[in-house]
Amino acid sequence: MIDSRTLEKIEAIDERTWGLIYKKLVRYANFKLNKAGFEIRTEIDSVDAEHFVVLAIEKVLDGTRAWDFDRFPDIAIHLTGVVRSLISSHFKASTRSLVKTGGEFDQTVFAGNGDDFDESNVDSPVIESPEEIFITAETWNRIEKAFGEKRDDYAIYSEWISGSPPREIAEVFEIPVSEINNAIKRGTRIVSTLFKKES
Amino acid sequence: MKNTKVDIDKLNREIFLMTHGQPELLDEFLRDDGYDPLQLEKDGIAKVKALIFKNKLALKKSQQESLYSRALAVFESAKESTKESILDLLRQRAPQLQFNHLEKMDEEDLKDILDESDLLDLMNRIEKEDL
Repeated sequence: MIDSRTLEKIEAIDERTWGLIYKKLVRYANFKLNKAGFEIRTEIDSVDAEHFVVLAIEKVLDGTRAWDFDRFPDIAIHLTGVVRSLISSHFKASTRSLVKTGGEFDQTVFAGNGDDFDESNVDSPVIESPEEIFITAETWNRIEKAFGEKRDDYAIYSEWISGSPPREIAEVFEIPVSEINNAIKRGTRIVSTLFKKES
Repeated sequence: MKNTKVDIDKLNREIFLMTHGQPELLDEFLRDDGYDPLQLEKDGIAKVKALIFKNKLALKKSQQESLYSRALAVFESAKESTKESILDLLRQRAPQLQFNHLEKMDEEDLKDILDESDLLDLMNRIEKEDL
Protein backbone atom coordinates (compact mmCIF):
# COMPACT_ATOMS: atom_id res chain seq x y z
CA MET A 1 0.00 0.00 0.00
CA ILE A 2 1.28 3.44 -0.93
CA ASP A 3 1.86 5.92 1.91
CA SER A 4 0.06 9.24 1.95
CA ARG A 5 3.22 11.31 1.49
CA THR A 6 4.24 9.46 -1.68
CA LEU A 7 0.68 9.72 -2.99
CA GLU A 8 0.76 13.44 -2.33
CA LYS A 9 4.01 13.74 -4.32
CA ILE A 10 2.55 11.72 -7.19
CA GLU A 11 -0.65 13.79 -7.23
CA ALA A 12 1.45 16.96 -7.41
CA ILE A 13 2.75 15.90 -10.85
CA ASP A 14 0.62 17.66 -13.45
CA GLU A 15 -1.18 15.92 -16.31
CA ARG A 16 1.09 17.25 -19.03
CA THR A 17 4.15 15.90 -17.23
CA TRP A 18 2.47 12.52 -16.79
CA GLY A 19 1.72 12.46 -20.52
CA LEU A 20 5.39 13.07 -21.28
CA ILE A 21 6.57 10.50 -18.73
CA TYR A 22 4.20 7.91 -20.18
CA LYS A 23 5.55 8.48 -23.69
CA LYS A 24 9.16 8.26 -22.48
CA LEU A 25 8.41 4.98 -20.75
CA VAL A 26 6.63 3.48 -23.76
CA ARG A 27 9.56 4.37 -26.03
CA TYR A 28 11.96 2.90 -23.46
CA ALA A 29 9.98 -0.33 -23.07
CA ASN A 30 9.50 -0.75 -26.81
CA PHE A 31 13.23 -0.29 -27.50
CA LYS A 32 14.12 -2.89 -24.88
CA LEU A 33 11.46 -5.37 -25.94
CA ASN A 34 12.57 -5.16 -29.57
CA LYS A 35 16.28 -5.20 -28.71
CA ALA A 36 17.01 -1.81 -30.29
CA GLY A 37 15.20 -2.90 -33.46
CA PHE A 38 17.45 -5.91 -34.04
CA GLU A 39 14.89 -8.43 -32.83
CA ILE A 40 11.43 -7.28 -33.73
CA ARG A 41 8.84 -9.09 -31.67
CA THR A 42 5.95 -10.77 -33.32
CA GLU A 43 2.83 -10.84 -31.21
CA ILE A 44 2.96 -14.37 -29.91
CA ASP A 45 2.23 -13.13 -26.42
CA SER A 46 -0.15 -10.54 -25.11
CA VAL A 47 2.38 -8.23 -23.54
CA ASP A 48 3.59 -5.10 -25.24
CA ALA A 49 5.45 -1.95 -24.21
CA GLU A 50 2.38 -0.32 -22.68
CA HIS A 51 1.68 -3.43 -20.62
CA PHE A 52 5.03 -3.04 -18.85
CA VAL A 53 4.63 0.72 -18.45
CA VAL A 54 1.22 0.39 -16.79
CA LEU A 55 2.51 -2.46 -14.64
CA ALA A 56 5.46 -0.32 -13.49
CA ILE A 57 3.19 2.61 -12.56
CA GLU A 58 0.87 0.20 -10.73
CA LYS A 59 3.78 -1.22 -8.76
CA VAL A 60 4.96 2.23 -7.72
CA LEU A 61 1.43 3.23 -6.75
CA ASP A 62 0.67 0.11 -4.76
CA GLY A 63 3.98 0.46 -2.93
CA THR A 64 5.66 -2.75 -4.14
CA ARG A 65 8.28 -0.68 -6.01
CA ALA A 66 8.28 2.32 -3.70
CA TRP A 67 9.52 5.63 -5.03
CA ASP A 68 12.28 7.18 -2.89
CA PHE A 69 11.53 10.76 -3.93
CA ASP A 70 14.16 12.22 -1.62
CA ARG A 71 16.95 10.31 -3.37
CA PHE A 72 15.43 10.27 -6.87
CA PRO A 73 13.23 13.34 -7.32
CA ASP A 74 12.52 12.54 -11.00
CA ILE A 75 9.88 9.80 -10.97
CA ALA A 76 10.50 9.12 -14.68
CA ILE A 77 13.97 7.80 -13.83
CA HIS A 78 12.60 5.59 -11.05
CA LEU A 79 9.85 4.27 -13.33
CA THR A 80 12.36 3.58 -16.10
CA GLY A 81 14.28 1.37 -13.68
CA VAL A 82 11.09 -0.49 -12.80
CA VAL A 83 10.19 -0.99 -16.48
CA ARG A 84 13.73 -2.25 -17.19
CA SER A 85 13.63 -4.80 -14.40
CA LEU A 86 10.11 -5.98 -15.29
CA ILE A 87 11.10 -6.63 -18.90
CA SER A 88 14.38 -8.29 -17.88
CA SER A 89 12.45 -10.60 -15.57
CA HIS A 90 10.01 -11.32 -18.36
CA PHE A 91 12.84 -12.22 -20.73
CA LYS A 92 14.52 -14.44 -18.19
CA ALA A 93 11.58 -16.15 -16.55
CA SER A 94 8.90 -16.58 -19.15
CA THR A 95 8.63 -19.01 -22.00
CA ARG A 96 6.68 -16.23 -23.66
CA SER A 97 9.96 -14.43 -24.25
CA LEU A 98 10.50 -16.80 -27.15
CA VAL A 99 9.64 -14.63 -30.12
CA LYS A 100 10.38 -14.91 -33.77
CA THR A 101 13.35 -12.73 -34.52
CA GLY A 102 14.25 -10.76 -37.56
CA GLY A 103 17.97 -11.22 -37.20
CA GLU A 104 20.09 -14.31 -36.99
CA PHE A 105 20.13 -14.38 -33.25
CA ASP A 106 19.35 -17.55 -31.41
CA GLN A 107 16.54 -16.55 -29.08
CA THR A 108 16.21 -20.10 -27.84
CA VAL A 109 18.96 -19.21 -25.39
CA PHE A 110 16.28 -17.50 -23.34
CA ALA A 111 13.39 -19.85 -23.95
CA GLY A 112 11.93 -22.07 -21.31
CA ASN A 113 12.23 -21.84 -17.60
CA GLY A 114 14.07 -18.84 -16.20
CA ASP A 115 16.27 -21.24 -14.24
CA ASP A 116 17.89 -22.24 -17.53
CA PHE A 117 19.45 -18.83 -17.83
CA ASP A 118 23.11 -19.25 -17.06
CA GLU A 119 24.76 -16.05 -15.85
CA SER A 120 28.20 -17.58 -16.41
CA ASN A 121 27.60 -17.50 -20.16
CA VAL A 122 27.19 -13.74 -20.30
CA ASP A 123 30.77 -13.18 -21.40
CA SER A 124 30.51 -15.62 -24.24
CA PRO A 125 30.55 -13.86 -27.63
CA VAL A 126 27.84 -16.11 -29.02
CA ILE A 127 25.35 -16.38 -26.17
CA GLU A 128 23.43 -13.25 -25.32
CA SER A 129 22.05 -12.14 -22.02
CA PRO A 130 18.57 -10.64 -22.36
CA GLU A 131 20.20 -7.22 -22.25
CA GLU A 132 22.70 -7.93 -24.99
CA ILE A 133 22.76 -8.67 -28.67
CA PHE A 134 25.60 -9.98 -30.75
CA ILE A 135 26.06 -8.54 -34.22
CA THR A 136 28.20 -10.60 -36.57
CA ALA A 137 30.38 -9.11 -39.29
CA GLU A 138 27.92 -10.55 -41.83
CA THR A 139 25.00 -8.76 -40.16
CA TRP A 140 27.00 -5.54 -40.20
CA ASN A 141 27.34 -5.90 -43.99
CA ARG A 142 23.59 -6.21 -44.34
CA ILE A 143 23.03 -3.20 -42.12
CA GLU A 144 25.52 -1.16 -44.13
CA LYS A 145 23.69 -2.08 -47.34
CA ALA A 146 20.37 -1.06 -45.80
CA PHE A 147 21.75 2.43 -45.14
CA GLY A 148 22.46 2.78 -48.88
CA GLU A 149 23.75 6.24 -49.73
CA LYS A 150 23.43 7.49 -46.17
CA ARG A 151 27.11 6.85 -45.47
CA ASP A 152 27.43 9.42 -42.70
CA ASP A 153 24.38 8.08 -40.90
CA TYR A 154 25.84 4.58 -41.08
CA ALA A 155 29.18 5.76 -39.71
CA ILE A 156 27.49 7.58 -36.80
CA TYR A 157 25.03 4.81 -36.07
CA SER A 158 27.66 2.05 -36.11
CA GLU A 159 29.92 4.10 -33.82
CA TRP A 160 27.04 4.55 -31.41
CA ILE A 161 26.03 0.88 -31.50
CA SER A 162 29.66 -0.05 -30.85
CA GLY A 163 29.60 1.91 -27.59
CA SER A 164 30.62 5.52 -28.26
CA PRO A 165 28.37 8.06 -26.53
CA PRO A 166 26.68 10.67 -28.80
CA ARG A 167 28.72 13.53 -27.33
CA GLU A 168 32.02 11.83 -28.16
CA ILE A 169 30.87 11.06 -31.69
CA ALA A 170 29.87 14.70 -32.11
CA GLU A 171 33.37 15.78 -31.13
CA VAL A 172 35.01 13.39 -33.60
CA PHE A 173 32.68 14.34 -36.47
CA GLU A 174 32.78 18.00 -35.41
CA ILE A 175 29.02 18.40 -35.74
CA PRO A 176 26.35 19.31 -33.14
CA VAL A 177 25.07 16.56 -30.83
CA SER A 178 21.56 17.22 -32.14
CA GLU A 179 22.68 16.01 -35.59
CA ILE A 180 24.17 12.89 -34.04
CA ASN A 181 20.88 12.28 -32.23
CA ASN A 182 18.95 12.59 -35.47
CA ALA A 183 21.35 10.22 -37.25
CA ILE A 184 20.88 7.69 -34.43
CA LYS A 185 17.10 8.04 -34.77
CA ARG A 186 17.28 7.47 -38.54
CA GLY A 187 19.64 4.53 -38.03
CA THR A 188 17.34 2.92 -35.50
CA ARG A 189 14.48 3.24 -38.00
CA ILE A 190 16.53 1.69 -40.83
CA VAL A 191 17.59 -1.27 -38.67
CA SER A 192 14.06 -1.83 -37.34
CA THR A 193 12.67 -1.78 -40.88
CA LEU A 194 15.37 -4.19 -42.08
CA PHE A 195 14.65 -6.79 -39.42
CA LYS A 196 10.91 -6.23 -39.41
CA LYS A 197 10.79 -7.29 -43.07
CA GLU A 198 12.48 -10.55 -42.13
CA SER A 199 10.41 -11.34 -39.05
CA MET B 1 32.69 -4.03 -39.13
CA LYS B 2 33.85 -6.79 -36.83
CA ASN B 3 31.65 -8.88 -34.54
CA THR B 4 30.14 -6.65 -31.88
CA LYS B 5 28.42 -7.27 -28.57
CA VAL B 6 25.86 -4.58 -27.83
CA ASP B 7 24.46 -3.54 -24.45
CA ILE B 8 20.82 -2.67 -25.15
CA ASP B 9 20.25 -1.01 -21.77
CA LYS B 10 23.19 1.35 -22.31
CA LEU B 11 21.83 2.43 -25.71
CA ASN B 12 18.34 2.78 -24.24
CA ARG B 13 19.64 4.98 -21.43
CA GLU B 14 21.38 7.20 -23.98
CA ILE B 15 18.21 7.68 -26.01
CA PHE B 16 16.33 8.41 -22.78
CA LEU B 17 18.85 11.17 -22.04
CA MET B 18 18.91 12.51 -25.60
CA THR B 19 15.11 12.84 -25.70
CA HIS B 20 15.05 14.49 -22.27
CA GLY B 21 14.10 18.10 -22.91
CA GLN B 22 13.47 17.30 -26.58
CA PRO B 23 9.84 16.19 -26.77
CA GLU B 24 9.82 16.52 -30.57
CA LEU B 25 12.64 13.98 -30.89
CA LEU B 26 10.80 11.67 -28.48
CA ASP B 27 7.67 11.92 -30.64
CA GLU B 28 9.69 11.10 -33.76
CA PHE B 29 11.10 7.97 -32.11
CA LEU B 30 7.57 6.98 -31.13
CA ARG B 31 6.21 7.56 -34.65
CA ASP B 32 9.01 5.36 -36.03
CA ASP B 33 7.85 2.68 -33.59
CA GLY B 34 4.30 2.96 -34.96
CA TYR B 35 2.75 5.03 -32.16
CA ASP B 36 0.60 8.14 -32.44
CA PRO B 37 2.30 10.35 -29.81
CA LEU B 38 -0.74 12.55 -29.20
CA GLN B 39 -3.05 9.58 -28.68
CA LEU B 40 -0.45 7.83 -26.55
CA GLU B 41 -0.17 10.91 -24.34
CA LYS B 42 -3.96 11.11 -23.91
CA ASP B 43 -4.23 7.39 -23.15
CA GLY B 44 -1.31 7.63 -20.73
CA ILE B 45 -2.83 10.51 -18.78
CA ALA B 46 -6.17 8.66 -18.54
CA LYS B 47 -4.50 5.46 -17.34
CA VAL B 48 -2.36 7.26 -14.77
CA LYS B 49 -5.36 9.20 -13.45
CA ALA B 50 -7.37 5.99 -13.10
CA LEU B 51 -4.50 4.27 -11.27
CA ILE B 52 -4.00 7.21 -8.91
CA PHE B 53 -7.75 7.30 -8.17
CA LYS B 54 -7.84 3.55 -7.49
CA ASN B 55 -4.87 3.69 -5.11
CA LYS B 56 -6.15 6.83 -3.40
CA LEU B 57 -9.41 5.02 -2.61
CA ALA B 58 -7.51 1.97 -1.34
CA LEU B 59 -5.36 4.16 0.91
CA LYS B 60 -8.38 6.02 2.25
CA LYS B 61 -10.18 2.75 2.95
CA SER B 62 -7.16 1.35 4.73
CA GLN B 63 -6.71 4.51 6.79
CA GLN B 64 -10.40 4.46 7.67
CA GLU B 65 -10.30 0.82 8.71
CA SER B 66 -7.29 1.48 10.82
CA LEU B 67 -9.04 4.45 12.43
CA TYR B 68 -12.13 2.38 13.35
CA SER B 69 -10.11 -0.54 14.70
CA ARG B 70 -7.98 1.91 16.70
CA ALA B 71 -11.15 3.51 18.04
CA LEU B 72 -12.52 0.15 19.22
CA ALA B 73 -9.25 -0.52 21.01
CA VAL B 74 -9.46 2.90 22.69
CA PHE B 75 -13.09 2.23 23.76
CA GLU B 76 -12.19 -1.12 25.23
CA SER B 77 -9.28 0.22 27.21
CA ALA B 78 -11.23 3.22 28.53
CA LYS B 79 -12.30 3.58 32.15
CA GLU B 80 -15.71 2.10 33.03
CA SER B 81 -17.27 5.55 33.49
CA THR B 82 -15.97 6.65 30.10
CA LYS B 83 -17.30 3.46 28.52
CA GLU B 84 -20.76 4.31 29.87
CA SER B 85 -20.52 7.80 28.41
CA ILE B 86 -19.46 6.40 25.03
CA LEU B 87 -22.36 3.94 25.05
CA ASP B 88 -24.82 6.74 25.93
CA LEU B 89 -23.50 8.85 23.12
CA LEU B 90 -23.69 6.00 20.61
CA ARG B 91 -27.23 5.13 21.72
CA GLN B 92 -28.25 8.74 21.18
CA ARG B 93 -26.84 8.66 17.66
CA ALA B 94 -28.39 5.30 16.82
CA PRO B 95 -31.38 4.51 19.05
CA GLN B 96 -32.29 1.53 16.88
CA LEU B 97 -29.06 -0.23 17.79
CA GLN B 98 -29.00 -2.09 21.08
CA PHE B 99 -25.61 -2.28 22.75
CA ASN B 100 -25.03 -3.03 26.38
CA HIS B 101 -21.32 -3.61 26.02
CA LEU B 102 -18.83 -1.84 23.80
CA GLU B 103 -16.94 -5.12 23.52
CA LYS B 104 -19.78 -6.57 21.44
CA MET B 105 -19.47 -3.88 18.84
CA ASP B 106 -17.38 -4.39 15.71
CA GLU B 107 -15.97 -1.96 13.13
CA GLU B 108 -18.99 -2.26 10.84
CA ASP B 109 -21.38 -1.41 13.69
CA LEU B 110 -19.32 1.61 14.55
CA LYS B 111 -19.22 2.74 10.90
CA ASP B 112 -23.03 2.61 10.83
CA ILE B 113 -23.21 4.97 13.79
CA LEU B 114 -20.39 7.45 13.34
CA ASP B 115 -18.72 8.87 10.30
CA GLU B 116 -14.99 9.52 10.21
CA SER B 117 -15.09 13.10 11.48
CA ASP B 118 -17.53 12.29 14.32
CA LEU B 119 -15.30 9.41 15.32
CA LEU B 120 -12.19 11.58 15.31
CA ASP B 121 -14.07 14.12 17.44
CA LEU B 122 -15.08 11.41 19.90
CA MET B 123 -11.53 10.04 20.08
CA ASN B 124 -10.31 13.52 20.77
CA ARG B 125 -12.79 13.92 23.62
CA ILE B 126 -11.78 10.58 25.11
CA GLU B 127 -8.14 11.59 24.95
CA LYS B 128 -8.90 14.87 26.72
CA GLU B 129 -11.13 13.02 29.21
CA ASP B 130 -13.96 15.28 28.14
CA LEU B 131 -16.71 12.68 28.37
